[in-house]
Amino acid sequence: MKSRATSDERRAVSQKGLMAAVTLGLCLSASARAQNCIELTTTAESEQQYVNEQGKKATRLVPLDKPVPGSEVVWTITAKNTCAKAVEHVVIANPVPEHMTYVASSAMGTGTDITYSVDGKEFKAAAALTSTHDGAVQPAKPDEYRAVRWSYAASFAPGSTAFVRYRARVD
Amino acid sequence: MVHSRWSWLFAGLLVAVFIAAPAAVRAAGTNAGTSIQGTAQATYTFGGPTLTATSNTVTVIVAEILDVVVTVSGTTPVSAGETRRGLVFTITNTGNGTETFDLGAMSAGIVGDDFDPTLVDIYFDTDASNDLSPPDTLYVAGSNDPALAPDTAVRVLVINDIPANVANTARGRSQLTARARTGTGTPGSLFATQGDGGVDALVGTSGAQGIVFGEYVAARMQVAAVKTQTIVDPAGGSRPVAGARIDYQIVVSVNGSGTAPDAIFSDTIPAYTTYVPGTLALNSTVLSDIADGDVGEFVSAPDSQVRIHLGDLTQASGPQTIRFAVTIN
Repeated sequence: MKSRATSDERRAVSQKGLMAAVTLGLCLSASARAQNCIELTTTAESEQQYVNEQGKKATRLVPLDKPVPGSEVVWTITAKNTCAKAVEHVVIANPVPEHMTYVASSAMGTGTDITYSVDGKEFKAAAALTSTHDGAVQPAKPDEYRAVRWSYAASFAPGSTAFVRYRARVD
Repeated sequence: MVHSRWSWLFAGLLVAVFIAAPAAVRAAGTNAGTSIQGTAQATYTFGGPTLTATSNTVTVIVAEILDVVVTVSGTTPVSAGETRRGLVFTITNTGNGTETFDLGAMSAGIVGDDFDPTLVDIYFDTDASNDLSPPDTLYVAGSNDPALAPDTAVRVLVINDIPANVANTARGRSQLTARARTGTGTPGSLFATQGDGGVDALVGTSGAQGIVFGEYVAARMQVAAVKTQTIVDPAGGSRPVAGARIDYQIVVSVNGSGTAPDAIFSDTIPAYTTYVPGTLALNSTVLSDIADGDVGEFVSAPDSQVRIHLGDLTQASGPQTIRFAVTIN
């Protein structure tokens, strides 16, 4: 993970790299820009209990405010097809951030097949995922999940948007 | 992970998902000021090879929780009139930032006890001896207030004098208060930008303060043993040289009410010395060295030891005087 200052530095470095690779860049840029079809947006929010207009208790998402150890953060990843053609085989992958623990059964995404990973490499359905402790292989516990992956069965029509969501707790 | 437009352009078809090793979870949790970053990635196809998109990176800064736990270790038996006795308290910073704690103690007027100890001082138990000893440092409010990193603790002694007129089994309480310097209050109270590194600080479930009382109990009885020695060397002097004889006298006494049932006195013969046979005596009565009808014996294994069954001892039993002798090898 990089800080903002470092990303500025990287941008500067990237510009130099661009000069060096200018020929390649020119060859690829036209088609590559056209292929940049999925716009991904990550947001972090928190759940708030409130009383709605009907006087009933309800839950809503509000901007994250002062997270502390134990706070649950709702992560939402929105994917939008910005191209004029359908996009297929969309798979959204999200590592559970460092210093956070996945909240059991919190991953959701309409029309997706959700898989999990304890090492970020091998993804399986929750029931099939295992972890190894002292040489013993056992079913992985949700708090061991270090990454979540959502695979869409349907294609994304031009301009369409979909989101997936999960919760994680600050360690 | 931050990917610029150009770096993903030249990246491989599938960018590996970076996994952070699960950090050890501690009681206090992630340190205040830690930045947590979340970035998602997507792969997709658009009529050709698999392509990758990376989201913006959301940075979440962990705020500070102000929390403290104060514990006291058991009750401390004392006798009436004792001075400078310590109650042992442990102050643990259960918050997630480094915090300075202001300490205070009070002994008078605590509800639920029988007598008021007289508060003297607060000391840091510097040598971890659980009692007031020379290396311990006096706590001076505003001068050496303890600054504790998350999940660390400091042990302090609240020192009191015990009044002379307390009855047996009477209980006297003395309490310690530790308050987070940044602020205390109802859980959730905000101290904006006052946390570590300028993050917001919030009062945790403890109210950012701990108030705990410890208790002295005037012991029903105390058994004391006072040992003295006399050395006679072969030249008639009193130097501890080879061949010198050491005569030990131990006076065992009971104070207070109650009974020490089936009290057994035992004393190990010091290294480099040898027990002088036939010298074991209780209250001037010589006891045989073997285990027999009398109450005393000398045992050679596993350690060389003299042992006397004193029976049920009370204050009324009076002082019991034990004698034996050894020679220096």
